[in-house]
Amino acid sequence: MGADTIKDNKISTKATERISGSEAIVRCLIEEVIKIIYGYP
Amino acid sequence: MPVYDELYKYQDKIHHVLTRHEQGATHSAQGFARISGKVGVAIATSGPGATNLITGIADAQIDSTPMVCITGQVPSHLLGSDAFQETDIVGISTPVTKWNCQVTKAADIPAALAKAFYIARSGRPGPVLVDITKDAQFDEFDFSYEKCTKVRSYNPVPKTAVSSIEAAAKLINTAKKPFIIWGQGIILSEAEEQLKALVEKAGIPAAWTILGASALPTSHPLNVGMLGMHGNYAPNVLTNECDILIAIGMRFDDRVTGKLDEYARQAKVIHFEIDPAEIDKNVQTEVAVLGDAKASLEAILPLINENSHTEWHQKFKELYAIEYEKVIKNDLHPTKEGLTMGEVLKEINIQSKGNAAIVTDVGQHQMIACRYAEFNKTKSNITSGGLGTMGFGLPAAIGAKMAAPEREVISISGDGGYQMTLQELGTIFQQKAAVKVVVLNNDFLGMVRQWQQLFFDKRYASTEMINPNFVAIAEGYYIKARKVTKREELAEAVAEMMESKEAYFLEVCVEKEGNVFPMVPSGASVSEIRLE
Repeated sequence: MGADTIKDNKISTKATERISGSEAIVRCLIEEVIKIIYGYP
Repeated sequence: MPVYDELYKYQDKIHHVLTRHEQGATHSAQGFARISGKVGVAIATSGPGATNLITGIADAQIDSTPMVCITGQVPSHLLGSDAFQETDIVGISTPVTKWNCQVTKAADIPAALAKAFYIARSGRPGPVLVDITKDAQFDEFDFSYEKCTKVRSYNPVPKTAVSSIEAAAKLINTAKKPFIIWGQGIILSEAEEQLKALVEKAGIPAAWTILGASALPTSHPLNVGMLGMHGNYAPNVLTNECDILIAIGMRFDDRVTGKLDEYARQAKVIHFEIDPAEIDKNVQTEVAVLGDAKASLEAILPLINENSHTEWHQKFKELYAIEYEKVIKNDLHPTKEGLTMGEVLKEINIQSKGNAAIVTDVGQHQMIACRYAEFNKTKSNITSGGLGTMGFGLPAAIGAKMAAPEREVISISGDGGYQMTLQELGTIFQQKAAVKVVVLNNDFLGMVRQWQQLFFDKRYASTEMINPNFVAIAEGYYIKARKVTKREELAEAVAEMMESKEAYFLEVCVEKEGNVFPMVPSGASVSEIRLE
């Protein structure tokens, strides 16, 4: 795999909610059942 | 900043671990992934924050570790303007990621991250990087999340041909001197039971690459040890005597094969492998079994005849006896004055009962630990195999301990690599991570020094270390610490470390010029392995 577009196939659809991109990042991690992340601000 | 503000809001759902350097974040994410089998996640800001991730990403790429890295980026209208903390992290990370992308619109974030997690964990795992511009982080959109299950033109698990299974079984059943060599693919596909069943049913001696360690218990009678440059004598020598070489989930790394022109030339090679790019890359195969290791082994097991290969196995025992007399006895039961690294591992084995996860850095201590650590459980050997990243061990141990708090996690480093990331003691202290930290201190960059001794007439150029007071540094982070300089102190000190419910630092001053043997000299054949 290399750098690519972000087209993909999906399995489920949920109701939409208007949020910021930043909140979306965190919500995506929660959807992937990520409970611990490591980083530096 | 906006992402961290959201992490503050969602701190009851996601625990953000503040490492002391972005490289530490990636190694912690790797340790988390390696012990749990789940995707590790690291996050950093743009510019230097992003570039500091690169070593960990490269390490994860070559060691097939599932990891998602998220980096901040300057606003999209400033891209290409040399803005403050702007760097082309997508361009920089392309050679060392399984996939990467840049997101400049908020609405594209869910699809990008869904795809990132799918690619990181599927097939042969690897690191993925998603770079998100600041405006994409601030803009609002209608959020929904749909998990990714397929990407066009990406086939993570190739279909296994029945004909290849049958051909492999036929070769195995007719072999007189078969030899299994397995790698991390067994652990990644959770095929430990299937490997054990194959080894036992066919009675085939089996050896492991450094990343395959612990998939089969050390004590298993058909586990004949480690392959490669500092591996065991018998599996290296007998690689060049077997008639059928059965490679499972390994990639014939140069540290394993030695001189390729003289590697297993007499053998027909069967290669079980998930990644088609690995087939015939380094070693020509007779039969390639493409697919997931677990499924492939389950498919071949009913076709395998029961056997014992007693005489063949005896040859491994005979060569082990030679290695024991020449090397192992001196490493584990030394009579000389200085402490050896091997006897420290022996003491850890005794007191952990082989149940600890051992996280190593890179160098002599790593080879000694992998050679002598006893493993009862899979996913117990976490180390930097392919990239050989000094500084990996300590932060990786933090990630491993946080992913598996019920397990004893022992970080073993040398005095060189330890000082590359020792600031992560701060992370241990802040997170109250009960990592046991062992530094085997020989006041040298030991592996380089060993090569200087053996191949450069003892010209020890820039390998001697004038070291700090390691105990004081650990205590500066409020971590209980102890230093051992004598053999008679070792057992009691290891016991104190193991009994501690909190983080513990143990420095063991070992002999300065101890060497790691056996050794396949660089460029030599595996059967030219040296015992002294």
